[in-house]
Amino acid sequence: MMNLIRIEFMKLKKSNIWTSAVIIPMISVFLGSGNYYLNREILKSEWYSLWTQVSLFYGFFFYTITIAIICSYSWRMEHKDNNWNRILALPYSYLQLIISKIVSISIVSLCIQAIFLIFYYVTGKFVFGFKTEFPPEVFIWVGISWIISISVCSMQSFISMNIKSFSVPVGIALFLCFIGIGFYVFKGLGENLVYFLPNSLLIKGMSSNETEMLKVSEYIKMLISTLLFTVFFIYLSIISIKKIRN
Amino acid sequence: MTMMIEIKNLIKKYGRETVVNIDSLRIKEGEIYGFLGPNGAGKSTTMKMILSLVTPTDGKIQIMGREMNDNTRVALLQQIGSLIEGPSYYSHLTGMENMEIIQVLKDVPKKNIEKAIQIVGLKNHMNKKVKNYSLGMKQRLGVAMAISNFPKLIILDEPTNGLDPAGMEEMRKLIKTLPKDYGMTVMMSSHILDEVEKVVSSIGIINKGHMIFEGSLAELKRDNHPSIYFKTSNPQKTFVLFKEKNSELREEGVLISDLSDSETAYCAKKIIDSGIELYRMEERTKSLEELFIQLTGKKSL
Amino acid sequence: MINKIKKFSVENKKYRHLYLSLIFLLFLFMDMGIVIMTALDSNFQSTINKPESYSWLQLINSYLIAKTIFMPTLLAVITSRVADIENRGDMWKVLKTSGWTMEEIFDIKFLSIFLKYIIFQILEGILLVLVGRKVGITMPIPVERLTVTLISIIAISFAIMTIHYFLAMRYENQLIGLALSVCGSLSGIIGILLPFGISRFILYSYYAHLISTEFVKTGKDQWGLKLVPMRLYPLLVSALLGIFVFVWSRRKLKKLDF
Repeated sequence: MMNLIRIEFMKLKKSNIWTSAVIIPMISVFLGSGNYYLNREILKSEWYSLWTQVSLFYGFFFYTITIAIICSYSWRMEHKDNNWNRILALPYSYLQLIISKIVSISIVSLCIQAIFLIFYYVTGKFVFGFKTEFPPEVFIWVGISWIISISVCSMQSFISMNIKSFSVPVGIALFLCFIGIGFYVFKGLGENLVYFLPNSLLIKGMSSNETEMLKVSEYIKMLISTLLFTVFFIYLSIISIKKIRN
Repeated sequence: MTMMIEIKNLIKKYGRETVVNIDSLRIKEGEIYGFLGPNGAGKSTTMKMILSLVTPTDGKIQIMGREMNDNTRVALLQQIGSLIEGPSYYSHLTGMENMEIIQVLKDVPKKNIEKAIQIVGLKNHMNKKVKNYSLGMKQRLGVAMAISNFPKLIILDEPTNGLDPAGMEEMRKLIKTLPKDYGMTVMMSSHILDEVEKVVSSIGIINKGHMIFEGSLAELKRDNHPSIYFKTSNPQKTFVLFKEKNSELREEGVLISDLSDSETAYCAKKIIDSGIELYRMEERTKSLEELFIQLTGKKSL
Repeated sequence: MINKIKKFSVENKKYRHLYLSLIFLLFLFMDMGIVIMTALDSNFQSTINKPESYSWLQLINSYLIAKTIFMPTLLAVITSRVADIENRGDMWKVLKTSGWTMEEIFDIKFLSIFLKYIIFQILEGILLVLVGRKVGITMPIPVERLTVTLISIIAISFAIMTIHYFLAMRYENQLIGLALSVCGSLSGIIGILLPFGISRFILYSYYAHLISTEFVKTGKDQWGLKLVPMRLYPLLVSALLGIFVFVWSRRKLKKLDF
């Protein structure tokens, strides 16, 4: 299994995704910083205020879309040049094949989060010269949203595996983000709608708008949702491979 | 003699159309099996079913004595190498990088890869990106990938596709060494009957999903008497002599088909007795092409 | 001329399974979603027909924000789709050897999707008005502003489309165009926040430059809207930029002659 994951990275080696993986979090932080700077009089809580600004659009759209682009790219390599015939004739179970993709993309996702965190820190510390302590909650937010991003990887992987075009899954991802915002904002149903889509879960995980830390029970619900979604989409992916065989 | 592949009552339907309906197909261990058939006969589909790329609608495929299904798939595929419907590769990586991926995938030592590359003759092109390879080079890369773990069974779908005559010759030589030097069994499909004739030991012919012949090359030709070409000083006169037989007038002689030994002797005597000079007598065995046309009634593959 | 029309229809036949219309529909849904959310917001509703709240313009503004976020991606996806269909079966060879010149391929492909885009855009404009009326705005429709805004939007989209079209046609790896669209959306949003003097260099923020109102302080903690004259430079700059990129990429691709 480690072999499969190693191979994914060998394949991603000469691609341009690493550029996107660096630039997009960078621009997100830059954007948020700009907004923070212009509204300094209102945003008084230094680190926390900066966080709300940088993570807003990132969590709403751009983190998810970047993952979608990487998934599209990863699966496109297999769709081209007759590679499906080779992959399905390898002595690996379909489960292993799918998981190796999801794991490799999740690792890239982790790098994106790390870069985001680094830029956030650098901006707060050196550009704005914050005097207060670095908020420990940020690590939780970054960590939780990364874990949730695994379910997004799983979902996008399923979509990209079945839709051979590069750009359509990205368009779908954007659409799902949109719906995700709707789910997040919708106050009915005890605000539970947010657990029904990976995209909305991610928004909640990034916690840009929350004024206080989420309750532990909410985190537990999010993790369970993530797990269920991940398993669900892996299962769907395996079924679609079996369908292809017919 | 153990069976490498044994297929019984294999059926594949797409909707209402039955694409494959094979009662029996057997490939012995250590042989080179030529799988022939016209376009659309079901060759690729059958090969894909052997590799579990496609699920059969009905029937059994046994490989090395074990049935190929979802449970045995992984274990069996470890012993099988393949090249189906053209080469597979990652075009943005170099040849060497592609082979390194195979090395990790199949968990083989580096020297296997180097040997495979050497065998197919791609040593000087390993640092080029595969998207810049010619079709023949890609094909060779595909074969290198298939043999890189030196498996027990190799399935090749038209391995000489895209190769120039020199390349075809090398590929032929390579395939011939596989059972001898590496103990592999080879199943190859081809359109180029000349190639198949020079390489295989057994033949299976499929048409419209059904096996219409299976056996050795010799068996296929045995029941067909050869044609004899008589090169004479007066072809025209010779032709007149044998008008009632299956004869064809050629530029310098006459070709007469389906002659047994005694009939051949009779013809020779008749020519000489008529005062015509007999320069040469040559046996022309029916080519695979002619046999094929006879069996399937189709003009070409 | 008839030849051109025939080629045009051939091109469109290729799009049958591309579901371009579906993609447009999806984005239309998202754009309208944002407009509707603004229209149903309680603050908006409470001051809906007061002349100083400029309700129509508020709707248009929210529409422009939606455009900034979603349009780059839509345009990147659409241009990628039409370029990619040729990439996959290596149809470029076939096209070129069956009598199409590179210029024709380039023009006809672009025209096909641009026309579809214009239809989509006009449709959205109409829907915007319908939503406004349905939600209760009784004030007269600001026809002049709306029309200028729509035409400007089309010009800006034209410019962005030419860029992504070039990237999709030039590079087989569609990643580049798509990643740029993400960065574009982001920089567009940045552009909204920066003073217009600076962000006028960011093409992707031009949708926001069409916002023709400004916030003014009306009281201690109160903000109101003030009308601002329409900015025409987005329309002009985009149109020129778009034409320039189109002609330049046409020439460049011809030289490359892939």
